[in-house]
Amino acid sequence: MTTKVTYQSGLEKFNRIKPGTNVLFNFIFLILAIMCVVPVLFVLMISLTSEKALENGYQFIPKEFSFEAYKFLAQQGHLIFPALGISVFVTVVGTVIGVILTTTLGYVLSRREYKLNKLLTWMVFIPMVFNGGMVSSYYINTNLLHLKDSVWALILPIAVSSFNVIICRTYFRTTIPDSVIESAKIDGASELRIYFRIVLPLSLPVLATIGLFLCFGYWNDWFQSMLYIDNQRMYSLQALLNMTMQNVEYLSKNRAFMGVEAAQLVANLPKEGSRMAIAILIILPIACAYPFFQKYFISGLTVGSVKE
Amino acid sequence: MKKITRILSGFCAAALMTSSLAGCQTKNASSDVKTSGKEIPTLTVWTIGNQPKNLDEGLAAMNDYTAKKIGVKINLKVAGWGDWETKMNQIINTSEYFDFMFSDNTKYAQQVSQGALAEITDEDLKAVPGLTKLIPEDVWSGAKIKGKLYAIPAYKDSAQTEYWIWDEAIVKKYHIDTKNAITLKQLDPILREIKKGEGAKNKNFYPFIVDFDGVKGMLMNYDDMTLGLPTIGVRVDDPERKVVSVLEQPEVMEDLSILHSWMEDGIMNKDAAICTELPRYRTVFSTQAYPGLEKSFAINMDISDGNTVMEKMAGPVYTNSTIQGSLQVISKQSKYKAECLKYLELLNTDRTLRDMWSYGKEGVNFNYVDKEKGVVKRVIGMDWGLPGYAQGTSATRSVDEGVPTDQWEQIKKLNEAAEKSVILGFTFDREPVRNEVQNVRAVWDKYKNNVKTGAKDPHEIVPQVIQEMKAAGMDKIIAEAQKQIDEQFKK
Repeated sequence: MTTKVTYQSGLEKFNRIKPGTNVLFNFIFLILAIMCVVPVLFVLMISLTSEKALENGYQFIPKEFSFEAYKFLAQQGHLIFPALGISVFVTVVGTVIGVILTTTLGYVLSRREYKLNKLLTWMVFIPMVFNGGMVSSYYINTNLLHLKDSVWALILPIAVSSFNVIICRTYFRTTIPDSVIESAKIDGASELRIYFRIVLPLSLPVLATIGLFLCFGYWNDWFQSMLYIDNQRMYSLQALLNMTMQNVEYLSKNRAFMGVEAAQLVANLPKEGSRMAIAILIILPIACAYPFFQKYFISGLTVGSVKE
Repeated sequence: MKKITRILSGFCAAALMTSSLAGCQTKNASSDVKTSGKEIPTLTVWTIGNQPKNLDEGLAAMNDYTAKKIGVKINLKVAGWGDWETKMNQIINTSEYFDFMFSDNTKYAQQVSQGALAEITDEDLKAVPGLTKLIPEDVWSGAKIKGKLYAIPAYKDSAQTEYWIWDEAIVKKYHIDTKNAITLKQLDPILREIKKGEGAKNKNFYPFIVDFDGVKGMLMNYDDMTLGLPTIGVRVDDPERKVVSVLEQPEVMEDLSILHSWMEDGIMNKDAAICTELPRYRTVFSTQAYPGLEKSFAINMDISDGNTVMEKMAGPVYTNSTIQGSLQVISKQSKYKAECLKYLELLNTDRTLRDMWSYGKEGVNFNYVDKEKGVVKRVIGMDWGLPGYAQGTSATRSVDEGVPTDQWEQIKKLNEAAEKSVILGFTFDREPVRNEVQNVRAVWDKYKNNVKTGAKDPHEIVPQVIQEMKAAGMDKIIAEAQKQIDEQFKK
């Protein structure tokens, strides 16, 4: 009984926030959380509303529940499941490749004794500020590297970004003490061994950060699909959703010049509910990925490893 | 010093490696074309639409047919509706190889000014008499840019005709004289009466429902010179050919004010500016159509027992944009220009190939109900997904079951009766004012939904839009367009 640490005792007492501030902070975060969750809930509810009820406007609690939208998705399974498969593959493989490439490059750039350090850092830094534009990268990727119409076109062009490399470089430079690496060197470890056995295990937070960035980047990416994939059967899920949304826009914009057929084409478009159902399908897996990364955000791993 | 040489040599090595790679790749590509080009050339073709489930199967059937008939095969690629613009821009900008592709009024002029398209000369056309016989002179002239032809237009409902579609039950109940309900002003008292009557039972009833695009056909009396910017245009019947700011015209202003009053008084749906999905049933709406569709509209509106009344609202009008709504353009790089034309001739004159393009494979995607008359029934769940309008004429194409078989006669009648825009054959060369066009379009995109649906009071929002557009360079565009028009029509 006596060992129980109460709220008022010990260190806690000093690090505590004022109750008033506490309430205020909770309130602010509550509002922020609501702002994030409500739209998602709304999308979910729209996807569950029947088409008839939708005609009278959106409602939080639908007058008529229906799974029409999800049935429609199931019917479109030949489109959606391959796209989902491609999205998952690209996200998983892309994140792994991306993390390996980004952190190794970042690590090399963080070593002061590396000769080309300055030059390479500039080469990484400059494209972060000015990029070559869409036409040139498209030209390189299609005509020189022949990446068109392959799953690698979705992975490689966005695997390494300058921004992520700079984050890694800064992290390795500031949080991994030189003395730790030096000590390993004295013990006879090779460069690779140092990297894999000493540096990486100490860098879980930055790995998780980069992994999370890449994972979201890959999952949310539709532009690569649109640019580099000619066969619509190889589109990722996001590209499929984007295409569906854009169809509505195109058909209404150019309706006047398309002739009578336009009305028929519009009638065949997926309805609002179905589009929302695709959105839900996209949100779910990535929402599950987030907690997985979160547990690696631990700080202070290297605190106390070196006594200067 | 030593360091620098080492770095430089590193760069050189890298450069050498990439250039050698590039060399071997291009060699491969060209030899590919050569081997396949010896006997039966395969054209790379882009079209628009949703990629069919069985594209490969359908394409194989097409290729079998055309290989026998004219000795040409195609490799058909499909760009999604929304992706099409970006994808085609990339292909044109990076000179990626293709033979022919679908283009439309929004892209055509730009592609021509970029020098990406092959000119189709009179000489070329002599080889394809089927096309010259099918497509009338007006349509050809609407597809020309500065007197030169770069595309084969699709001869379809090339003239725009807009109709009011009424629910017949409502027309009878309220004794509406639809012949005298053409302009919004004429509609105003009628809709108010309907609202009073029907709205008594259901306060959420709106006699007039539009989506964010507003009333279809409202601005169609102005030729937008293929700019895709409806705020600048020439009235199709203005003998002076004066380029005007459309929104500032008194009759447009009046229509917008009426729309706004409908919005205020609950005649029109309040969410019009953000509405993307229209309900199936609407008391009255405007749409592009041709005579004889009453029953089809009734089925679409879910009132199969009832019927609809159609009344012509405006048109038929030929403008450059309506003609350029569907074009096939041939790449300047194409090695097979003659074959492309031959293929397009067959596509426009041969019903079997035409149906394969727009309906898919016979027996899989569709079946002939009446092969003689050209009536097809699509197989449910095997939608071919490629829209017929984007491929070629509707003259040779079969129709869906239920659509009047004399569809083409009706359309042709409208086409022949069409009023020609005073600037038909003029396509605005937007190169001198490219930035201004972009900026003005950005302004328009920001406001268009609120303007076109009357969601905001036009007396307030229109002056604001005009002011911003002027700041973005609208006057310069108008002046440039006027200059070009005067030049072309002076003679």
